[in-house]
Amino acid sequence: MMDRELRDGLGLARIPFLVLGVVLGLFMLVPLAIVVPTSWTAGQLLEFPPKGFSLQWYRAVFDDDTWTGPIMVSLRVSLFASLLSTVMGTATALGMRRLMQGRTSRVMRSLFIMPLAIPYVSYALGIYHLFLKLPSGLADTTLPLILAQATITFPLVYVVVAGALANVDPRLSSAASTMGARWPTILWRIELPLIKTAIIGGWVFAFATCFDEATLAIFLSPVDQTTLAQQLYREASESIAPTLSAVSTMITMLAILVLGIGSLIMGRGTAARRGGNA
Amino acid sequence: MNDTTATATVPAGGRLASPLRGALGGNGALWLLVPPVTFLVLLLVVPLGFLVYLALQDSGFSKALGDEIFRASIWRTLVLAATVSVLTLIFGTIYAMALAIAPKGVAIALLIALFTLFWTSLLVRTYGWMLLYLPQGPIYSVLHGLGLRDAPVEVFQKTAAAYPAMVHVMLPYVVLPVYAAIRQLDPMHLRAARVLGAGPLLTLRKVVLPQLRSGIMAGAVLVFVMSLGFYVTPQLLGSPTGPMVASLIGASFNTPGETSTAAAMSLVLLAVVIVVYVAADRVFKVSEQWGR
Repeated sequence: MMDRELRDGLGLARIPFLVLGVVLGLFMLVPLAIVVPTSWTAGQLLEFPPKGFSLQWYRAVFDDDTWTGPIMVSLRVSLFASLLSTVMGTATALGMRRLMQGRTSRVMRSLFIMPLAIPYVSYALGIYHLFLKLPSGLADTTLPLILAQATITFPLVYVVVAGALANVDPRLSSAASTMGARWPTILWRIELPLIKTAIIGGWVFAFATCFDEATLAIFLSPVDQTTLAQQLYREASESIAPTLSAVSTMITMLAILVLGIGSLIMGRGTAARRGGNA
Repeated sequence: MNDTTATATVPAGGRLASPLRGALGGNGALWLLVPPVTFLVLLLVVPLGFLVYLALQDSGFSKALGDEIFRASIWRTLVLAATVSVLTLIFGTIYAMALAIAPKGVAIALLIALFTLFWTSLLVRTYGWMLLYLPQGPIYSVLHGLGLRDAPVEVFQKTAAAYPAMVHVMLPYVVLPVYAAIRQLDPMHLRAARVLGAGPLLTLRKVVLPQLRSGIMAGAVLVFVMSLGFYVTPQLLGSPTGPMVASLIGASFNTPGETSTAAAMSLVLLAVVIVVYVAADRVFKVSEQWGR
């Protein structure tokens, strides 16, 4: 309906938008279109266009603990950080819904969104030196990195869950409350089941963000525990080799798979809820 | 009749009569909000406040602000962030419009391109740009193949090299909010404009764009603020002799004796970010676009 009106309203002005849109779409795919072919070269050097076809560099990735170690560190750090931010972000969205709209809630919302905007280097500097002041070598564990990544992914979960909560009818809570349900019951039996898919979606999004995050990892992770993103950064700044292309291709495929499935699940959840309301 | 209404409203009235009970978490607000607020105060406010302490330790501010390299890098960073956010704003809006008006097949292809980009690791994308910029890389092969160039291309590690890559990285942050805003346009407004004889350009200028303004600005402000503190992409692609503020902070991160200077530089960067963010929030209600 809106699409048709927009099309009719714009008339011939559509054409430049379409042409530029397609050009931009190609621009978006350029870097990937270069990385992927360079990973299957049969030669010894990174070349574009690649020489022949071989999977030797993929095998090299798994033979070498340059990459397998960091993958495990990344999985562990991202898992803890994203679980923490999911719990905190969900609690915030549920709590803000109960708060009266007003000055306090506006100030609080700005605080909750702020981690999206702060420069990671500045933040890393503050966290790092703060942990140096704490006793017993906490700065030499992955704890600072986990906490910092949880902080920066917190707004992502909050925004996703708050968006889903906005579609939940507030009268459901009022009705339950009139019938004597106290807030933990309302939370557990009404709200959480209705926003389940959004919470999972927020968690997937947070996990992927932590997994990909490099700046905090570069400055905060301990010497003997390199994350995958940090390792990619290190290798890219030292020497460009086909293994780097192979690792990049694999991460990208995996990310698209996980996030694609995640959004499909979330899309279905949203559609089901809309259908239920209509 | 009056009596029944009065009895029916007793529970609601009772709740209103004891605001204290509400404040102490009658509906659970307090229990739900205290842990995340404590978390953010301890892990966001305290570390950033600690930077102030660090910067004041060793006259960090006068060292940082007296440093010509730092002053030049502030300017360079502002120019980068402003250029990138203007370009992203223009291209992102065009892309979102194209998504909305394209025939179904094209629209799906454009969506796939957008999400492939959005979901590709930042480092992989930056690495792709590094490959693209190699002296004998793809740009060279194409130009050479067309007979346009014989000498290797030299764009890698020039300040300008970071620009296309930054726009590329930031595009989804404008496209997504603008596309969401387009989906919310009122078809009746568009029909009214058409029925009343408005041409495409007038419709675009007076009906469509004004309603997209807050979505566009939310995206552009986010891009500006994120570009100010961006580390990885400019560090890998940009010029080593023309560093951004984030790179300078990174360089003195672990250098003993430079902690207070790094902290002062971080605070300057943070101050710019906060001023821009608060001003934009006042004018364009940016946080309402995200937080609802």
